[in-house]
Amino acid sequence: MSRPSIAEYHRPSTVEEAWSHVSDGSPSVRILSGGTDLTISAPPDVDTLVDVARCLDHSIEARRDGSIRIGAMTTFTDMLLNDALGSYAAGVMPEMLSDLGNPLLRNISTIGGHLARGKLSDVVPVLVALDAEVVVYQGDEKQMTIQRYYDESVHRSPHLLTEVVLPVAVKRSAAAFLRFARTAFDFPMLNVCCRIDFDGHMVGAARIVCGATPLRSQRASGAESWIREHGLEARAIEAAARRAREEIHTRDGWVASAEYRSHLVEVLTSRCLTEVARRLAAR
Amino acid sequence: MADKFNVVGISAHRVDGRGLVTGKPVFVDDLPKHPGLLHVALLTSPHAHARITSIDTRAAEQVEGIALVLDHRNTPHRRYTTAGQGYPEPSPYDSRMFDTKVRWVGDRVAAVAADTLESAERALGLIEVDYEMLDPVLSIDEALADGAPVIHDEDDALDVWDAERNISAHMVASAGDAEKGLAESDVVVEVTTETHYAQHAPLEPHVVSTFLDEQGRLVIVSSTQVPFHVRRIIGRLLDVPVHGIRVIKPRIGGGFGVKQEVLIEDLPSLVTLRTGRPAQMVYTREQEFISSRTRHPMRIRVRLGAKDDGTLHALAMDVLSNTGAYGTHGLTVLSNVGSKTLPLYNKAPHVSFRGDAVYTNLPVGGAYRGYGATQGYFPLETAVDRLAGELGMDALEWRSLNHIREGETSPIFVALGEGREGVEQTITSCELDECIRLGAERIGWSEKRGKREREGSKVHGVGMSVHMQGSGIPMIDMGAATIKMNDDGSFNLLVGATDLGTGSDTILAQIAAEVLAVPLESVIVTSSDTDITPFDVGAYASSTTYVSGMAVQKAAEEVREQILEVAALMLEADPGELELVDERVVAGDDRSVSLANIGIRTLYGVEQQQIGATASFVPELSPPPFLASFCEVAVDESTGRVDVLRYVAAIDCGTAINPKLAEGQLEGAIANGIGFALFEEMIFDAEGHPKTPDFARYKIPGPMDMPELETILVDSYEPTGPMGAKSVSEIGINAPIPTIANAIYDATGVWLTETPFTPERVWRALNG
Amino acid sequence: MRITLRINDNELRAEIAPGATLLETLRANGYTSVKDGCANGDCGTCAVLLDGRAAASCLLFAAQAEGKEITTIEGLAGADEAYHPLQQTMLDAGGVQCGYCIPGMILTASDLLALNPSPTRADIAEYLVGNLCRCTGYVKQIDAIEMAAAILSEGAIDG
Repeated sequence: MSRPSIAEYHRPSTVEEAWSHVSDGSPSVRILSGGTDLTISAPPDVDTLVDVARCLDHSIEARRDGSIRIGAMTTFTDMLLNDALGSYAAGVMPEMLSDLGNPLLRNISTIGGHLARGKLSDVVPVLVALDAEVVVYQGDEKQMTIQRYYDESVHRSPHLLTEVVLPVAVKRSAAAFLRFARTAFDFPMLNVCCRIDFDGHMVGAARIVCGATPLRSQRASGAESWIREHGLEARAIEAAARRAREEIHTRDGWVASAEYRSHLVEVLTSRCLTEVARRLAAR
Repeated sequence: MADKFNVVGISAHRVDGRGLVTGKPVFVDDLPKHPGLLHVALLTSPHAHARITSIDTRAAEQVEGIALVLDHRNTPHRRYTTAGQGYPEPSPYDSRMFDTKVRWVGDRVAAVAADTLESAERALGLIEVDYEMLDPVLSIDEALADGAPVIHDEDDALDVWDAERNISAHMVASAGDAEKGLAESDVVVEVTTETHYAQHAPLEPHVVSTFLDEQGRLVIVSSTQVPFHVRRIIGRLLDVPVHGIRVIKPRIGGGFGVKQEVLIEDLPSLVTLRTGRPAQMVYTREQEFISSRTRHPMRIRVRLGAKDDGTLHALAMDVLSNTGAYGTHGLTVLSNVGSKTLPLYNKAPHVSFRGDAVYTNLPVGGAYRGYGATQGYFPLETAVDRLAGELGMDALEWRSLNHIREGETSPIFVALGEGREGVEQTITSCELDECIRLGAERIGWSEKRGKREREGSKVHGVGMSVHMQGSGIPMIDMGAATIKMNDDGSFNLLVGATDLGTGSDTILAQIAAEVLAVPLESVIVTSSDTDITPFDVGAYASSTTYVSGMAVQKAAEEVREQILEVAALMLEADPGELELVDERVVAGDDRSVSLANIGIRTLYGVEQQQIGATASFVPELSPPPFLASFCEVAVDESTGRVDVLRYVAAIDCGTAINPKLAEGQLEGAIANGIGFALFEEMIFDAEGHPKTPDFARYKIPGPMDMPELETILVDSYEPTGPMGAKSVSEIGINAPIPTIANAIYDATGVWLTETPFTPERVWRALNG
Repeated sequence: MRITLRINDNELRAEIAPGATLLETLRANGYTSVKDGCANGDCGTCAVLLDGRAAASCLLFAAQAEGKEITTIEGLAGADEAYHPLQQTMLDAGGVQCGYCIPGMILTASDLLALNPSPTRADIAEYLVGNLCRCTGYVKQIDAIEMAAAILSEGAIDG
């Protein structure tokens, strides 16, 4: 019930100015990007908002080399409607984004705010599977993998997330995403994103990432190796899915038990890999 | 039948539609605020079962802008029920405004009135309460266990069945000897089902605003389904005579039964009476989930016995209902589990019903669309499918053989009523066979049933169930209507009936317009204002179309007679040879006079008079609507997910006064029923704390969660109803659970006996 | 803080608490068609158009809406028409029951029709996934939006 009492609202026009508000890590200061999270779940001790709409970019740039740079203030709707993102990795981004929340949220939620929030997400497993990187400003700019951003808790330290970068994709690469929830607009009780790169005739890179376990995201590296070694035949996919089930840690929650979530890891991984194989074959 | 009408049977626009689609301030919280408004906020219990040993409000009272703090020390101690039922309410008087004991997480502890909501909430945080913790009772079994903590140990509660054993209400009824009948049967099936806690979730939460009018009378503007019951119950509770209270219901944003509770009117009312200042209270969405009312969870055992030829011989139903912390609607919902289901299969000479509603330290059950029938039809209609299977009969064939028909009765009508004995009834209209025939055709029953068509891990099935409800509570409900004529030949229709979004203002106006031979625009409706409109029990028990509609029809007929008498003088004719047609009174020959001329003459001309009448209607019967419900599902055997692909609901609701509104009632009820069947669920932790207090966690169906839904209004005419109409609003919500369960069985061969049919629950059932 | 909002082509200057949401600010200034159904971004009754795109006003601070064009249902119909086609068809189709969800539903639908002038029923359902209605079962609301789409695209062809 008790909502924070906000006393100050800043609108810095440069990243440096924004940084000056948040660099000391005061728990009473929060960066405001889309607003969809802070309006309803800011801790009661927050008294200062730093609105970064004027200092962070909201455009998507498809670079000539095939990589894509997404400004942190880009909304999910702008991402969903973007052609370059639509064709990247067999269209996995719009596949995920079209079921993300609902239009009333996607029209205002930003990619930067979402990632910095670091909660249960459909977006994070996809970005992990795509080897996405983030650019973080902490007095100077650093680029790091999204995996490192979370693994090293950079998202909890004072920082500004300024952009997301999808790396140069190999020619024969496809990804797919599946989510499992009670209704069409609901938290996932599990999600899976798989990406497979073909390097000549062999699997080059394989990514199998599960989210909402209820952890944010986990890679099934044993299953990834299995696919690299055995390819994408139906039996190999089944075996990889069983491995994923064993290595992905799940927890009991009120919406699903750990046992059921583990079962879903296997079913969804198998389905997701099968879909990736179909997409690769269709290319 | 509808083609003999001019205004009835037409899908006219809602009479309140303009204000709603243009966003005019028509809901309680949109109305202009009175100056000096106090905001009321509520402190609720964090514990499921505890005694308040001390409460310190001194710090709270020091907060700037605080006008009043209310708790058990300064509020009336009189016991009452929050059930917005007729007098005397068939619910125990086991509630107090504020008690010294809290009985569920969400029970009242204190309230604060302040200049701003922020101040009120800040003050709530400063109230210090000491609790003596008591063991919580968190299930039906725990409530009935030997030595269970006694939830209602107070000595001043009234009409609790057996407080020592946590039994709030008890009901038995029988005809013949069910045990003997079961023993005599060739085939017997037994089913026990468990249904879960669910919430009504109207999009507008409870909201009440109060003020004193120029004469010092208390005005209560409330999002209520029962304005007259609010006036009576608040009057008694707060010691204000009925004539000192006016209750107004503006537009309200849905109710579904949860606003048949006098849930929060007492708090702003008392604040206004104590301070003289206007007050307003709005439940937050979280309070709507935690501190409101719910559907009673139930465990029900049904036993059916049939002869080899398929005839039902015995029918026994045993019910345990969880009424939660208080007994509001506990007895009557319990009764309706049987009274709205058992008469459907009236061929059985041996019928028994037995039920208890038990107290627990969980949220309070209340009136919820379907009112017990929703829970009762799950075991009954799945048991019927099992029985038909055992008999080697098709599910449709068995039902056609055994369901009640026009001209028939059931001993249960007399044996079991609304918390007491019922009344004798003969069915005066029943087109259930036609509903079954049309529904089966539209779903493709004969092509799909038993085929178990597969695509990948998904397997398809079809299921069906049949239903009846009622149309009001016979010999108890009363609706009244007043119609008066204006000088342009238009009419004011004043009804106590309560439109909670159902469209009752519109269909009541259509009935009046039909009788008075005027276009709908010529009937101006005013509803639900206890100072202005005549009495009506309110919107519940599927009563408005039938009960209030008959009152409107009678009032309109009396007005018509008065009009004809005046016209007879004007036309120098005999009233008996006159007719009302197209806003004119027409004699046999070419002579006629317009209603406008009659209106102006009666108000300003010779023999001045106000043409007008008030009529009341108390039903002797409660003619049931009938429904045949069908669906096709695809069950993913790998994940347990059940997708309802198509849903067909064919209803006999008598004449549909406004077909689109009638379809809308059915569609909305089915949607809510599908949510209840598949995913809507209130979940609690081991201490009774709710884990699903918002729409993010308590999911109600969105448009993507709905199957392709087809509703069919079957041609029917109820001779005792207004223009041939009976009810439509509740019946649909009962159908999805048994229809989907039967379809899941058809697809997989597995019976589900516990709701909701979540993927995990279905997956577990499929895997033994 | 002082802010200036453009709402339905009118300018609103208001002194607000810096933490005030757009929903609170609109309702406090008379735009009560914007409903407070959950204050948690889950129900869609508070939807408004921000530069033409539907948004949950409970999930925005009022200050974020400065410089944007805000449209509520009061501003949807043209000055010389009683109803926007979506309002008209919502009544024609019987898509209104209690009406509490209707302003948000219609505004979200108008955003959809701007993006996709001839949506399928599935497209409509998908776009309304965040606009809850407890009364109707959505059948007639989707009918209404289909009907409005037909009217609006006819108008576009007629010029």
